[in-house]
Amino acid sequence: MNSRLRLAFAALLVVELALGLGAIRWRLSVAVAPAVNLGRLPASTAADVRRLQQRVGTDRPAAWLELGEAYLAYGYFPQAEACLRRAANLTPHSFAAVYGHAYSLDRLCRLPEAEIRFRTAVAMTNGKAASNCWYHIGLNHLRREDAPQAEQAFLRAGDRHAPAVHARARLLIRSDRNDEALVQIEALRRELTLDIQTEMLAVQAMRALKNPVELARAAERADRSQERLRLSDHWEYLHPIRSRYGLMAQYSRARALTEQGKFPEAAQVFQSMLNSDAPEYSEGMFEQGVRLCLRARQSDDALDVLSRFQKRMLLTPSALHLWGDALGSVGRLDEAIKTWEYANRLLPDGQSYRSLSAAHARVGNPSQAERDLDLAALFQGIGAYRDNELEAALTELERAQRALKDDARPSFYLGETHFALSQYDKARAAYQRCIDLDPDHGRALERLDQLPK
Amino acid sequence: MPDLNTRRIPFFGVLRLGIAAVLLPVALFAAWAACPGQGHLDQLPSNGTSHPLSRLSLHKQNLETAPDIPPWVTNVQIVDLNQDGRKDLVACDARFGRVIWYRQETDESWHEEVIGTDLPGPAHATVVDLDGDGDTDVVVSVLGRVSPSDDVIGSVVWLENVGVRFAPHTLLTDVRRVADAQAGDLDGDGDLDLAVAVFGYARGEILWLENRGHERWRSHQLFVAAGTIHVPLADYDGDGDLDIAAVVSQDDEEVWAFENLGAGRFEPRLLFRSLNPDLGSAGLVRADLDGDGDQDLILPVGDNLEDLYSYPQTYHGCVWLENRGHWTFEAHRIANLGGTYAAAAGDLDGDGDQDVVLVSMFNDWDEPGHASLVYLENDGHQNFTTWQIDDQPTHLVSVGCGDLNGDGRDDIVAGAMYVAPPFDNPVGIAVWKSDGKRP
Repeated sequence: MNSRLRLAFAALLVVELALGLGAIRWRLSVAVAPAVNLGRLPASTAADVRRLQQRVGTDRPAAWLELGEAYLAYGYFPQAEACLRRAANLTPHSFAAVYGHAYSLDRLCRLPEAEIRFRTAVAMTNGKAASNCWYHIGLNHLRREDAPQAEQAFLRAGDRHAPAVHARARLLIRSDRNDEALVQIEALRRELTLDIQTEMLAVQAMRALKNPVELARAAERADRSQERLRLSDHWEYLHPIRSRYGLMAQYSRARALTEQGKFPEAAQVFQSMLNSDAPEYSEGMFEQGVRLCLRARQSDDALDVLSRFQKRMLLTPSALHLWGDALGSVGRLDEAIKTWEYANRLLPDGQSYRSLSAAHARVGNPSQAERDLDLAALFQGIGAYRDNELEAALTELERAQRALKDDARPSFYLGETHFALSQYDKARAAYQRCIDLDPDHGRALERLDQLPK
Repeated sequence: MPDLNTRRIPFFGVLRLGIAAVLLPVALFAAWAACPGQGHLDQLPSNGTSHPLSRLSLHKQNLETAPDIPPWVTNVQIVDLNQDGRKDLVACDARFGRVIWYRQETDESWHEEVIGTDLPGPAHATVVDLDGDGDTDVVVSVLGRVSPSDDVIGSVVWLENVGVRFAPHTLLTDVRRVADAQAGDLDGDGDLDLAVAVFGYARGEILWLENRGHERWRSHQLFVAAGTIHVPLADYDGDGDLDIAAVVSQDDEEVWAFENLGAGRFEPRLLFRSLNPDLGSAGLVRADLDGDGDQDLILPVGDNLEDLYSYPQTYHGCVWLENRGHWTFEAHRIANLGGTYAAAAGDLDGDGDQDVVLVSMFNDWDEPGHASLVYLENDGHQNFTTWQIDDQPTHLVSVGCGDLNGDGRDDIVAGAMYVAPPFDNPVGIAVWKSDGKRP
């Protein structure tokens, strides 16, 4: 009995030893995370990426994928390619891994290799994801200056993939097939509402067709377009990845709270971000932090953020307008007036003039308050025109034209608004009035030439 | 009677074996957990570029070292602003919206004087006697905002030299971001007009401003396209009047010329086009690189700021557009440099021909040694050899050539803009002075 037991234990020990040594040997052979310079990331983001590096010790494909995507999102491309290649080798049927690997090769300018991987990815999916892969293959061929192959790939991306349709139309213009390009441009116009990229493409087509009137119309439409078709998916693909970690994770949380209308909570997250990471990384966000504090009616916090960033505050009119708003909200009207006036000298803003008007009224300067309101009407009218809110633009600009009798600007933008509404006689009259006030107004003179007779 | 010992020993032997069978996995697991992985993944090499070190005898001087706030010097050039015979520097500080004159003193030290303020995002300063009164003024192209924006926030501001100071006059407003303005008599009426690159972002245009006298300027639209960076003027077709060249970047990657037909009329001509939407045209410089008497164009390519983390691509570097006459420009690729952002021409080695200097904004800064400043040595037959001058400072976006120390050899100045990490040891402006020795 004992000897049998002894034999069994001995056998068990041998098996355990063999398995254990095998496991250790395997463990020793497992690749470590490729080293990168995390010193160039915000501290909170670097800490999160460091945790991802430790997780790949188990050689799980999900761990390699997550680390590879993080490396890709933060610009460590050779290291990202290695991690994503490992993830794709471990799970050859994972679209995310194969697509990520293709993307990393593309960013490394390994164009033929990237194309092979994008083609592998296409075979694993359908719909928008497949179209996106074909779009990448098309761009990949453009980067190799290979127009026929690029055009084929954009065709395979399908008619519902707007960036591919746009790229195809551009190629058609470049190969002097402008009529075919116009068909694509019309398709984009039906799909997208007043899109900048589409109208700028129409400008190119009309230039090639030597049609200055339609060129001017397309340029004017572009001028008041609000939509902008994204021709690169860098942001669409990489931003959600960045939003998982460190500073950008906090930023995303603040954005989500803002969208839910929880302004005080969002402002608190912003305050914490602006306090915790080095200002080189967070300074681009401080204006949003101030705006949120003001929306949350936390004026003192807004001023606190402004004063902390004052030394490194970029001289931007938008930051100065905000400063004025913050000062105005705590009743420091004289300082607010000076700040708004300074900001308006750099970049006039309708809302800022409205605030100035209210402040001037409160400090007992009604004539200046009235003048500010007239200027507010002018700049809000121009803003409404650029936002394609043409009826609102007409109302504001007509008021400005009545009040600012010597100013050519209300008349010019009234002309632009009537031009946009195809009210050419009214447009002509407005441009003419503009020129009467400013005989050197080049844009009004050019528009008069472009108006249909 | 059985021996107790002989009975015990097997029992304890079995017990020990049992204990060992339990402990061994625990120990092995602990060892397994403590073992770090030793393997590594094969990794592709960095795309960062470096070159053999230059044999030019240059001495570097940083004008401002390790400032608290990483600088954004969008433009720096070598000019004699006060016409005292010594070359100075004029720089645009986009961080604080200023134009700064670094006056060179007799002992070659620098005196800093701010000559323009309240200029949000100045992109370029053009030093020219705009009003023809005999002194040099500065025309500033103002973006309004350095970061991408399609808002109507640009302007052109003339800093008029009035002796003791520079008085600002706004010449153009109500336009999108302005990247460049160049002065020349475009309509042949004897005064200076301006060609203006309205870069914008997704929308933009190229204008020329007709000088109507008495500070009146009339704008004329030449072209509608986003992303025009520079508009160098020259008589490209040799017919005696000034033409306008323009690099249109963003998605199009084209170089256009506007042939001056006289009386303020211009004919657009496409000089160069790349299908590669990612080429990254970063500027346009005119120079007679082959010394044949006509003006060629130098096109640095490597601006890939579309994404936060730009990375060197194999097609980054420099293209020489050789003027072959009759509006034919032949493209020659003359250098590889990851993240190339600006170029300048000058005779750096004193052999009588024009060499080219390039700077990089986005080489691979994660690995040390990648070039931030190179020069392309011209052997006199337009065969160019690339030599690395320096790898510091990084993030260089502007470069200029000129003889700062009067030794007959061109020196170099470069400006850095730290919009992305790494932010280590930032330097805004550095100069590399030749000591006159032949390499």
